[in-house]
Amino acid sequence: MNNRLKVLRAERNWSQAELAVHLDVSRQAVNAIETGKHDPSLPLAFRISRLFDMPIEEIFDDGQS
Amino acid sequence: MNFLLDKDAGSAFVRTAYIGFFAALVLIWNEIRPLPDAFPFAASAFVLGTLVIAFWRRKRDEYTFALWTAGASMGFGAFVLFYFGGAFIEGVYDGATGRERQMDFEAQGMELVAITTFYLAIIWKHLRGGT
Repeated sequence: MNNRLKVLRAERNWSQAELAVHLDVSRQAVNAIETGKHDPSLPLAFRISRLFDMPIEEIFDDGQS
Repeated sequence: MNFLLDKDAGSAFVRTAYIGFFAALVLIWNEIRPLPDAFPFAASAFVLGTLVIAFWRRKRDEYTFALWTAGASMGFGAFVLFYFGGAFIEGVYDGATGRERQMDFEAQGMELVAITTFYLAIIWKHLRGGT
């Protein structure tokens, strides 16, 4: 699944570790999501959505739309 | 709880998998070419230790749990495959080599195959994102 997490993080000048703290996950999890190696759970997707104040579908793209 | 260590849970979990994987390889090598006693002893300790740590830390993070799940499912698959397919593999190997004088794939090796596959799947998922 493609996502804009890396772009959104870069816009805020956050490191992966800083984003990880905001999301309460490990830095490795952020890296895996950014590189598309791991799809976040629904609760984590909602946390990401709230953190960046954007709808989930504007952050994640499942290629169906 | 160590905050830094907890936020580094993913890396720690993957490091654990690498250590466990290489320790399991030492044990496999020991089955093929026996090593001095210290090597299998130390490798067994590392395998056991990393298994305990991996189990203990598997839910620290949803990513570590995804890695654990990938490893556990592949390890279980390898166990089932070896359990039911071991005799078939033995027959194919004997037929290919023309030797039937001994069991080349001992049942005792089953758990080692499963553990090695478990770690290999974790490493694979970490590197490639899927199993």
